[in-house]
Amino acid sequence: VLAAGVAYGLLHLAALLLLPRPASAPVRAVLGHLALFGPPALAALAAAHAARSSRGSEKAFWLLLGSASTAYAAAEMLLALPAVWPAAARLRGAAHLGDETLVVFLLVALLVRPDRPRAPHEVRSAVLEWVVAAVGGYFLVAYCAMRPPGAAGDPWFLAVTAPAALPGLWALALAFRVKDPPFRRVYGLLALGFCAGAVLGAWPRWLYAQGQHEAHGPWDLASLLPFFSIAAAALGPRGPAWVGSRRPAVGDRGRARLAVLALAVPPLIDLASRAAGVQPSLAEARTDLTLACSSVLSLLVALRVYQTGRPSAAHDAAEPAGGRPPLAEASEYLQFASGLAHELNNPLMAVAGWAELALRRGGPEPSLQPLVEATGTAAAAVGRLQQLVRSGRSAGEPR
Amino acid sequence: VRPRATPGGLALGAAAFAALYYAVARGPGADLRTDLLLLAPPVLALSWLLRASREPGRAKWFWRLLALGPLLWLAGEALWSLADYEGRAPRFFGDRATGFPLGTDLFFIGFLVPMIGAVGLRPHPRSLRRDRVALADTALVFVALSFVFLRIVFLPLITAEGTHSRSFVLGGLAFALAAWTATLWRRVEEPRWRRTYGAVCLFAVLYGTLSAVANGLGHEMLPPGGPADAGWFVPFFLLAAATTTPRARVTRRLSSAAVVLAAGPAPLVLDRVLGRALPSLGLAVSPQPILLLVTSALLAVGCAARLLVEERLDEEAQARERAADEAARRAGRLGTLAALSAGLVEELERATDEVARQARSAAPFMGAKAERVVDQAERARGIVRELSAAFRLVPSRSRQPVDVGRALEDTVRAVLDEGLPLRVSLEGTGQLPEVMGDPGALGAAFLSVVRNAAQASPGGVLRIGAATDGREVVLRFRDDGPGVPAEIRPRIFDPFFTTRRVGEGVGLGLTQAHFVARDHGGSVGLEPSGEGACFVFRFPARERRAMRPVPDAWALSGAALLSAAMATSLALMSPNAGRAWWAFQFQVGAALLAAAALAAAGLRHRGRARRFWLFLAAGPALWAVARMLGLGALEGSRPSGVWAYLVSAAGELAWAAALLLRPDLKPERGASARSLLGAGAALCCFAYFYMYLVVLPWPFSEGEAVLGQHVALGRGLVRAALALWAFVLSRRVASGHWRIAFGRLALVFVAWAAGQTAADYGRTVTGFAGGTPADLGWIVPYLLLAAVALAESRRRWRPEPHFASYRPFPFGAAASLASVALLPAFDALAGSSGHPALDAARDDLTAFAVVALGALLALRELARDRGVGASAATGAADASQQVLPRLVANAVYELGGQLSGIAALARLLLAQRDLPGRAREDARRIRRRGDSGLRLASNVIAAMRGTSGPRDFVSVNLTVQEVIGERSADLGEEDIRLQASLSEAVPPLSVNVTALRQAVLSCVDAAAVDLRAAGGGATIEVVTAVEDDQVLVGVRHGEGATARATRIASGDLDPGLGLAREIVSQLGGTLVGGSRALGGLELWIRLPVPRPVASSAARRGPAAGAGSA
Repeated sequence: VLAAGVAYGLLHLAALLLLPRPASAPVRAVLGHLALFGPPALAALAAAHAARSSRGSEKAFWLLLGSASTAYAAAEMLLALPAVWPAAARLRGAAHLGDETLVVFLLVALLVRPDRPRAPHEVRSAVLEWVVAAVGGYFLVAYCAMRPPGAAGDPWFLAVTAPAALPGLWALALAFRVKDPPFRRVYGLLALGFCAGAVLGAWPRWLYAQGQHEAHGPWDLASLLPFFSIAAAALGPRGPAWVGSRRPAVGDRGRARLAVLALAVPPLIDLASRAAGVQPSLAEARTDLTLACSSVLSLLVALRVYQTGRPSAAHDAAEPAGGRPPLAEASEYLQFASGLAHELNNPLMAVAGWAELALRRGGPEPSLQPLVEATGTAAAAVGRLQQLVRSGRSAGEPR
Repeated sequence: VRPRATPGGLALGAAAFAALYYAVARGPGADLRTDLLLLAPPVLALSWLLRASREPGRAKWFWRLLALGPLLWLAGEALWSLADYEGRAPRFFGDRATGFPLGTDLFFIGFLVPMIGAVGLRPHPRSLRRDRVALADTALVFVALSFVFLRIVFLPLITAEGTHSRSFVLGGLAFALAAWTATLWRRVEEPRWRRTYGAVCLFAVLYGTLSAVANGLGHEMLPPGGPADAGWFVPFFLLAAATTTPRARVTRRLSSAAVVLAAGPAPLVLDRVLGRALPSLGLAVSPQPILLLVTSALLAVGCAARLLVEERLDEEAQARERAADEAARRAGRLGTLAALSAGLVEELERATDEVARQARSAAPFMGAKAERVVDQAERARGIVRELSAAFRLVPSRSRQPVDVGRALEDTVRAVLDEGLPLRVSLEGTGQLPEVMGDPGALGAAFLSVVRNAAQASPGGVLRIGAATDGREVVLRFRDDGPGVPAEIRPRIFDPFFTTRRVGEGVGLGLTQAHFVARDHGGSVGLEPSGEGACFVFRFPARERRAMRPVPDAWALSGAALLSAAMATSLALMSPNAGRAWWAFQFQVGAALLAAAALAAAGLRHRGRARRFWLFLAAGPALWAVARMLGLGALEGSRPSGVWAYLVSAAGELAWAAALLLRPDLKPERGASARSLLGAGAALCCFAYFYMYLVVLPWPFSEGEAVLGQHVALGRGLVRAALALWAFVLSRRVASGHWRIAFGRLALVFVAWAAGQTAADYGRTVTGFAGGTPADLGWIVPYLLLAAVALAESRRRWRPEPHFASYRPFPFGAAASLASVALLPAFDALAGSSGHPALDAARDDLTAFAVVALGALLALRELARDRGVGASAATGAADASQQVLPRLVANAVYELGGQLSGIAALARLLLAQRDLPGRAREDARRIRRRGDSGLRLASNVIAAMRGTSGPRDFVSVNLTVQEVIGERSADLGEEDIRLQASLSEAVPPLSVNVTALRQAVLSCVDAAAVDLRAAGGGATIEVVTAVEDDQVLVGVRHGEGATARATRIASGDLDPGLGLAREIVSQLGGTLVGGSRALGGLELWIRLPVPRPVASSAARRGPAAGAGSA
């Protein structure tokens, strides 16, 4: 798939270079958009194919990747349309929305973590977390995309690239952290595609900021790279199918982290941008966006907190609560008896030894005899104890 | 006493009143009528508060002081109505020329003063909720309150023209009241007091904000009839509601979801509402986006902290439940064990009693060693007695109320007097409810756990914490040993389960602890803890002790009252009327009061503690002297003379020195030089920063505002460092008493750093004019300090037994070295000040400080090397030597368990009728191998436990007989018979019983191995004899090949024999063996005979008893 991608890219470049520039502008536009339409469509088909044969969170993962590709492909179609049907130019806004959606969908897809199966009771809160991530992602995209009207040459335009780098970095982190080989491969491929795409994507933005942007050029490869990696990951061998909860239910450790990320980070970003004095004319609008976003996020986080509540006792009992087998009690008793015999034996032997010594040295002494006898009785009691232990040990054997 | 009226009724009343008020306000001549109408709500509140003041105790004074508030407000309102009647009511609140007459302002601001004093009394029963969720809630509420007051009151006042000290002080008092009651509201457990504090908090918030709005936020007052007028009557209905009792008897924790839902959008919504409402009232208020963002972020962090704390609590609760489950299971098991063994223990008790009695009566005939015989007999009896006591087979009848804390202290004191290698810290033993029980048994149970800790980590630290949890007394024993491995966790309470070597203990202590706890209706268990083991006792408290309110509340209440009164009077005085003079009096008075209170607290203590409090007292005293030296301040100029500044610097150094004194530690012998040098280094650091930031730049800041502000901030930094140090101490100190003291001091230091820095800074900003409300930053912290010191001097201080424990700071040496490097780095980072002379002086100071600090630290390391190094090294080696055998023993123990399982499985197979012959043969072989492996494992364990045990005179023949008794049944099944031929001439030997027994056992086992290989079916003969001052124990048989016998005798085939050889050589003898001439094997243990017997044997001649060898 990657080789096909390289060939496709070269073909695309050749076609663009061969076409004379001013004369064939509409043709170039249509051709460029069509060339940009192909790989996302391929990635969408491949992801849909992968989703068909998987279950659970893995299915969700592929579906999200597929939707991201579909949204991008649709956006390219919408952008190509005005060349043949001028009325479609009104749909440009929708097309850009599809463009931005890509980042958000990729982020959420990576949060799904198909390598980490979830128990059924965890799924609902996980879905809510994905929604939180989606809202947060849209906030980031919208926050960075804000720019003063008519400022084409604004160097801050590069900031728009920042959110695009997030999925790549996250996939890279996952590729290093996940040990499961198939998923590691999937994350590695995605990281490669997303990171390369994000880095290359800075090029057209930079040109745009300088006012030298052209509609289509070699930088189009930046948009294509992620889709080839998605297609390669979806068509390659995949991880084991989702089989249900393989891990014990984890405690609800994620809530506090989620609350900090979702509630504290947007105001902090806005504070930082205010402190840095970035585009003061936009500060008010940005703060409004931040606060509105925080309110929505706090609603979602509250829902998430409410949903989990306290972890129920049903998931807690990892070990069976049944009683112990009677054999175990018997063996404990035997252990106890053997310990007792062991402890008593030492002083009794010592007493016997001393008494014998005295008897030997002093000849038969009437008052020593009872001591020897008493020691003998005690030793006999201990002996019975040991007998009990021995008989208990061989209890299972046929006589 | 409290009326049962519902808040609903009051709300209805408030709504009806509001309707009436606004109807009247629409009519003509509204001013006077509304004035008169506003007299009604305070009267209502006053009457309800007075009715509530029939409550007994301190609550009476609380309600009376609280009632003083509406009374004063009524007076103010009456004066106001009079002014309105005469048509001279002002249009501005505050300091303008057309402002209120003094009397009205006195009442309208001052009415909050007694209310703050009332809250200071804190009359609620004492059990503050200790959970950290309440703490997070408090922080959240504090952030929210700060936002509300900043947004509505303070920021508009700051941006408004002119000074508005009266409005500021009114808002500040309301904020203080609201914040304090909010803290109490979230932390108090009892529902009715929660309602009281919550209602007062709402009162303060509503009054503070709405009245500020109605007063025009620094502009012209709003005309009557506006929505902000609700601030004049709604709060008083809330004050009435504070006296009611809620229906619910328990308070539930707020759901985190609700908190997040409220905290997320609340600032935004409030901001937007205000942004629309205030302009519609004609008040221009600028938006505050930064405040909004900061509040949002802080609230988010607070919510996250709350969630985190809640998760921790849930986890802890789960762990507790699991521990309770385990305890219940264990109780069943051990109960069965005790019941099963009751008869056995009784029989053994009789037998050992008899032995002991006979031993005592035979003692006169036994010569010099009689004592030891009696000792051993008593020991046997003691073990059985201990067992009987551990099982509590005879539960004690005498039940009496026991002060658990006292019992614990007595136990610990006794243990430490015994010289147990342990450092113990006790906390919270002073305030425990009583438990019905048997003090002796409780002491024994505590003793066993303390012993256990001493054995787990010799020389370590045991922290014992006592607390009440609901109706239970909870005692936690936390040691810093290696902890209890998970696999033996369920078994450590079993009798005779011990991981120690013989002679260190029998393994009954924890069993006894279990049964004692059960006898008292409680439980004992292990709780998970970070490091070491944590044993937890829980006993039901005898009764819920009538909980008394917080002690020493009067001091704090007085300080709050005084602070509020001073603030009010400063706000009311006009700048021309000697306000600066009064402010100066207040400052010096507060400082001297604090110094006197600290000195009084010092005189109540002895030793280091006295020095600590007296050093602390020197701080405010020197500060007051410095203020008096700088009297020039009153004329509006800066304090003249460098003396004032040096004296005040000496005061701050005294504070630092006090904190470095560590009054919680007993002076340790040998370590005093080291700790003195360490404290000197720390003081050197502190002095460096103080000189660098404050003293040196001071002369240069004349007429230069920026440098003056830097000096003020630098002072604040140094003081904040002191506060941080006090806080760290409050977290690390072992003693509960000092923990509280340091915690309070840390709070006061924070107030001191913040308040005085604000005051200093404020003066550099506004020019040097005394008497502004910023001066409160110099007054309030000293009043708080005086309150803390007064409380300290009144606190009943029971000296807790011993506090030798504090954890050494990790990376201490590295940190101290880093501090040397820190000073030049700080100097480099600070950069140039713009004054060459100052820079040069700072460079010199840095060089001098580095040399001094380096020398001090080097000396300290030298002292440490001399004192501690050697002992620490040996200690580590000891520890590693102890750990390995224990690990090996555990491993072998596990191995034995596995082998016994294998043998049992083989037995099960053998029990099946239809087993084919071949398989039967295999099973038999497996069983034999399993059994012999098991024997080997048990030999190893016994050897490891036994060889180093105490020596005693042991009857060799009895030992041999016992060994034969032990093995004959097992070997009999394999057709191997055991036969003894014992010589009467064999004297007892001075050896360890277990070791001797083990050596003989190993020899028998080795012979059995040989016989088994030869096909079995023979006799092993065990003989004893005396030869040449040596006792011989021989094990031999006459079957099998010579070659194998030789190999066995050399220990090749049976590692048990190697073990036996090791044991015998430790006993001073030899083990030799080999093949016999006619086939078979013989093994001989030769042990030296003790001296007196040896001489008699020598007299009898060398040939006596020879031959068999």
